[in-house]
This record gives sequence, C-alpha cells and structure tokens, in this order.
Amino acid sequence: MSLVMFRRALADLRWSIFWYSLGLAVYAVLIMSFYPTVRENAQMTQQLMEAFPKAMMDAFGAADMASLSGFVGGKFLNVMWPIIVGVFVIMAGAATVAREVERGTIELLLSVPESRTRLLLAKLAALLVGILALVAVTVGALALGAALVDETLGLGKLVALGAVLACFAVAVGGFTVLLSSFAKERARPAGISAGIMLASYLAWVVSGLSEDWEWLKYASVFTAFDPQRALASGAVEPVHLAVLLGIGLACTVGALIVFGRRDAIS
Amino acid sequence: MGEAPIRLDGLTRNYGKRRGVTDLTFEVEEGEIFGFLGPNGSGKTTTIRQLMGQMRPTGGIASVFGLDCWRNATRIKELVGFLPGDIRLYEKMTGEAFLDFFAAFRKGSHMRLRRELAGRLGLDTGQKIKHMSKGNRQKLAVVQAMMHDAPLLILDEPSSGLDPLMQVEFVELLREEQSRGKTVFLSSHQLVEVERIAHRVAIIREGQLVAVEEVDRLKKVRERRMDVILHQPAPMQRFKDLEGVRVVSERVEGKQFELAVRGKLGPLLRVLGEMKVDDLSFAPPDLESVFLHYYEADGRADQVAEPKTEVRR
Repeated sequence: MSLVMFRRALADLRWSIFWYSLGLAVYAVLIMSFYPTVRENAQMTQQLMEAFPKAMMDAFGAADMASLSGFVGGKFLNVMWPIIVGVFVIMAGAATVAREVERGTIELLLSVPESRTRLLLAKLAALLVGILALVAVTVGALALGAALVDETLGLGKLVALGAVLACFAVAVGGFTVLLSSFAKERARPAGISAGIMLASYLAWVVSGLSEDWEWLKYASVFTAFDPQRALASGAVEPVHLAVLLGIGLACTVGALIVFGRRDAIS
Repeated sequence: MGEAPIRLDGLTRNYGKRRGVTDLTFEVEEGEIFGFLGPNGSGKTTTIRQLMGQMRPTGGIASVFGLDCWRNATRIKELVGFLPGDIRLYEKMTGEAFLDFFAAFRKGSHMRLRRELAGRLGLDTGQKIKHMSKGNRQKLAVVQAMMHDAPLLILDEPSSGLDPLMQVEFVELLREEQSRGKTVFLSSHQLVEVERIAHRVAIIREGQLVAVEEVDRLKKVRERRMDVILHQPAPMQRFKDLEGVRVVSERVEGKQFELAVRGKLGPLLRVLGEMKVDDLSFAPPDLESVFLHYYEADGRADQVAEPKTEVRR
C-alpha cells in the first residue's frame, strides 16, 4: 500500500467522514431520547404493533418495538443506517477509480512510481478507515444515548453490533469498488450499486412475506445483516459475517485485478 | 545506462473500429531531444500512453531503458518525468500541495530544482489549481514533470498553452536538461515547434510511421507558403526558374503570387529584392508537405491531399 496515496485519499474523505459521523451521532442520540416514552408505554406499543401483520413488521424490522434493541433496530439500524452509510460508501467507493478516469487525473496519478495495486489498496484502506469511523461513531453514540436514558448496553453487545455494521458496509464497499474499477465515470458504478442495494432490500422484504419467496433471501445482503439481534443478545451469526466479509474481500481482489489490467484512459 | 531511453519495436494498438497505432518502430538515443510529430488524432498520445504503461499494446514492444513499459510500468516511472497532453489536475489542491504530492512518491525532494523551475516559468504555486489560468496549469504540469530530475522526459504537446515568451524559456530549459545528459521525447502537431527544439523526429500520420528523420534534413524537404503582393506585375517565370520554388497561384494580373518554397530561401529573396514588394507573408512550415514528400518517395502520394489553396482577391 502506498502511504502517500493513503494520506491523500484519507484527506479527500475527511470532511465526508466528519459530516456523516455527525449526522449518525445526532440521529442515534435523538432516537434514543425517544425511547423512555416507548418504554413507559410498553404494553400499548406492543398492542399497536400487533395490529399490523407480523410478516410486515418483521420485513421492516419493526417487530418488538418495546425493547431497546427492537426500538433502535426498527427506528435506526435496520433501514436508516444502511441508507445513510450506504450513500457514503457508494459515493466514496464509486469514486476510487472511476472519478480519476472521469476527471482525467488518472493519467498523472499513474505516472508516479507506484504500482496500480498499491495505489488502489491505499484508496481502499482510506475507505475502510472511513467505514470503521462511521461504525465506531454509531456504536459510541448509541452507548451514550442509552446511558442518557438510564439503559445499559454491554460491551459484548456493542462489539457484536459494530462487527455486523462494519461487515455490511465492507460488502457494499466491495461491490461498489469492483464496479468502479471497470468504469469511466463515477455516476455509473454509484447508480448500479444503489440499484443492487435497493433490489437486495426488496428481495429480503419479499422473502419474508411468503414461503414461496423464501429462496430470495439467499440473493440479498440484508439476510446477513441483523444489527438488532446483535444489539439484543450480543450474538452474531459467524456465517453471516463471513459471507459479508467474503463479498467485500472477493470484490476487492476482483477490483485490483481489473484495475491492474485495464487501459487507464482511452 | 546502455539501453536506449526509448525503443519501439512493431508497437501496435488497435481500438476496434477506431484507429490506433500500427507497427511503430524507432529508437530514441540517450542525450537527444527527439520530436514526435503528427497531426491531431494521428496516434501520438496513444503511443505515449503505451510508453507510460497506461495502456497495453496489442502487439509489439515499447521499452524504456530496456524495460518493458507494460510489465515494468512501476520501475520505468522512476526514470521518467511525464507531462500528459490533456492536463487534468487535482482542482482543490494548491500548486504547492500538488507538487508536494507528486514529489512524495519519489526519493529526494529536489526542492531547489522545483523552486528554480517555478521561478523561471513565472509560476505562483500558492494559488489553488481551480483558480489557475490554462497557461499556469500547463506551467505547473511542466514543473511537475521536470522537478524529479529524471533521466528521461516524456512530454506530450508541452508548449500548448504557454505564451510565446514562456515557450522560449521552456526551450531553453529543455536545452539545459539535454546538456546535463537528459533525454527528451516530446510530441507536437506543429512542425515549426519541433524544428526549433528537436534534433531528430519521428513523423506519424493516421497511426503509421511516415519517417524518422534528422531535423536538418527535414528542413530541406518541407515547404513553406509565401504570399507576395507586388507593386508592378512580374512574369511568373521568374519564380518558376528558381530551384525549390513552386508557384501555387497567380492573381491580380501578375501582381499577387502564392509560392511554395522548399530548401534555401536566399535565391528567392534576391529575386524579390529586385522587385518592388508591397506586402509579404510567410507561413510556418507545412506538415502536409512533409507527408507528401515521403509518400512521393514511396509512390503513395495519392494518400495525401494537396494542401488547400486559399483564394483571395
């Protein structure tokens, strides 16, 4: 990995990381501050939830709204967090190769005595730092928010949550970077990645609605994404994390190979 | 180092339907300033991108100091200072940060050389790149290419965007680099520019090598157009009798002539000196006439259209 490129790439991402972190932290604390109202009316909340079809509530991650993990999951982690962090990861991941090609700066960048692999690895390392920063801020803000409303989230739960969130973002980052490595402009990999995310989410929702459609869950990264469970029990499904990390890693290797062989500019 | 700074051997790059370059073979010798001349779209940049390992050849070999440009792309870049043809820079950086960034990839900072180059080109490196004029961007890219003290400079259309005074300074810089043993490979679509700087040229047209020639020899074969307006009519024969002079057109009853001049100017100027000349313009040397010369020699003259003659009254 090229350290010079890493520092530059991190500097390019620093303001994005800062603003996304701030947004996530504020959102997490804000959501948490509403929790006492739900906690105090637990029975009523549960009755309200039961009025909706269970499958639908499961699908949108909103079952069990009365518990802390259920509330934070339904209101923040299950859907909102993937959207917010997905935007960051997709925009930054799509930029890695495609923006340099689009802006024509790739020609100068590839005139430096560094291999393409080391240059791209440095950019990916900066993206990984960004992902880990957002995950750390999310977990930290939730712990802080919980403390403010007299709840305690144990270290085990927080670590489990962090692992799930990070692995998910790594998977999204992986396929976005792979798409970017082929592309000539950033909008294309960003658009396709966002499309994959949406399709993946829909597949996951539909797979829960009927047994006929259950097979669709194997086509969705959201199947392996269960932050609510991690927060509730501190338990994670190792296979799920391995699948998410595997997607991220395999796509990264693919991106390095594609970028190493492509015409930088044509 | 022993090995030629640049060697192309049958270098070919196909783009499918679009034209690439075909079977380019030539060598650049150590310590020379070598011009790579051709019209826009003739394949100069495609060739240079292959030299810089940014594009893989579909056939043949490009090597720098004996190293294959694709397989040893990282290594060769330690030996090359590069100026791209289409200057695209990191807009948000200041000039200083931009130069720091590119210097950091290499050993040694060469700060003194960098300041000297910026000073001689009159470049303020403190400015943000997005606020720089086209000329200043070009200067910044030139400083970036030259500041590494690399033994080979590969410069794609280096003087485009530089004003005439800066072009003179730039040529001076290249001559100094050469006197310090550096090799310079520069592309251009302007014959006059290459003639001013280079010792030898490779001429390319439609992706194919037309000739590799010494500049002194090139000057003997290329034509320049001269428009002459005389006060009194003169017989066309006076010009026709001169060696290397061709009358392209005669207008206004023998008072206006368009001449194509090849080789020495002296005899023509002596004839003109005997006439009363109202006006005279002399165009820069014409690249098409060079193609015509080499294609005639090859019996392929029909591949080059005769340069259009503008009709004026």
